[in-house]
Amino acid sequence: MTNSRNHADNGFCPVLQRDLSVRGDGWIAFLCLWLLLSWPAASAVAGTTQKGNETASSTATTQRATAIRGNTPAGAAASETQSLRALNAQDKANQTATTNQRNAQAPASRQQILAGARVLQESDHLVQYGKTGGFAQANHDFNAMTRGVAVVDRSDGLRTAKLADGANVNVRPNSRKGQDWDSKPTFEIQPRPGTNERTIKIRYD
Amino acid sequence: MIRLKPITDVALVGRLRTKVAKIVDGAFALNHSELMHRRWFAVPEDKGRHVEPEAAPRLARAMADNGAPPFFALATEPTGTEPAAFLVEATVASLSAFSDECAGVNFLITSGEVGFALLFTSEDYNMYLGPRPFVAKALGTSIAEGMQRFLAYADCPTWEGRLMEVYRSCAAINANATQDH
Repeated sequence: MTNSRNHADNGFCPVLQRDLSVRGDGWIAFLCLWLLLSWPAASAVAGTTQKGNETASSTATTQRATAIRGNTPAGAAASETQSLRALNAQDKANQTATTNQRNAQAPASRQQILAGARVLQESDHLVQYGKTGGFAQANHDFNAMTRGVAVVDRSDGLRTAKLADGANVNVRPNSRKGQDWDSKPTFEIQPRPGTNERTIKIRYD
Repeated sequence: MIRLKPITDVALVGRLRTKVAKIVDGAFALNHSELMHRRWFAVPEDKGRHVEPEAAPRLARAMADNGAPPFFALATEPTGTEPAAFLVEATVASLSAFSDECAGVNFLITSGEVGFALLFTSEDYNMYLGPRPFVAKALGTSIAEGMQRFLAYADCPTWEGRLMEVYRSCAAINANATQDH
């Protein structure tokens, strides 16, 4: 009892007081106390280690991502494939745009001009068609078919041109302006010389 | 294909226009009184281009047999910045070149003395004007047959009577030419 009282008097906790009272070994108590007090620091050390591990793991992930992106030899092939796919897609987009642009600027074909037209009359040298829209439509058709070729303005609304295939085309506001009677605006496509094709003449209501 | 030689002599073109104006008024209207006075024949023919491939040989032959060169192609309507007159020859090649270069524009081919006229209109017909031998050679058949062919072409509702009017006009001129005066 004397020892317990003495230990109680030295200010330690009851457990330690008991241990101390049992073993009577002060340096062990000091060690425990030191461990107890130093725990946050140990935890901090452990945390630092864990954090270090996490950092390492994160670094590895970053390295894998970097490798995929092609900054390392391991990801170069994948990156090249991706790049080629992207370039091919871009090329296709450019080609489509160019084709659309070319189509928009290409001269209209006879079939396109005659779409929706009705046949009025046929002879050995001439096929006549009828369309609506008057002189405005006649000029529209003439302009569509003469894209990219020289057009000669003959005055009074008469314009002529030679197409790339050698055919001659002309548009007239009406065929007999200033005469006793007028006819309708016309757009005419004459086949190139030397061929046995027939002339196409479109009259616009 | 050969190229036609444009006529740059303004005075020559002016003289030709004065002569031609006696027989053709404006782009393609016929001067009946002058044609009847000359007792010329006038026969129209259907067309697509000014000179169709099968027509070129007979037109060249008619020109060569009925006039002395040079021959002239003269526009009967404004031609813009393009030449209004060309020299042409009585050959298939030259007439084909004319058909190509002067496409779409009312033109007339004649000799220097205007002894005949080949009128190429924008109205889907040509008109051959001159003495009977010339017109018959240009048609490749008789005047009567040529008129019948054109009647078959003109008698169609599509023309709204326009080509029938041309037919009747030529019939009157030809009737005058065959009458004894």
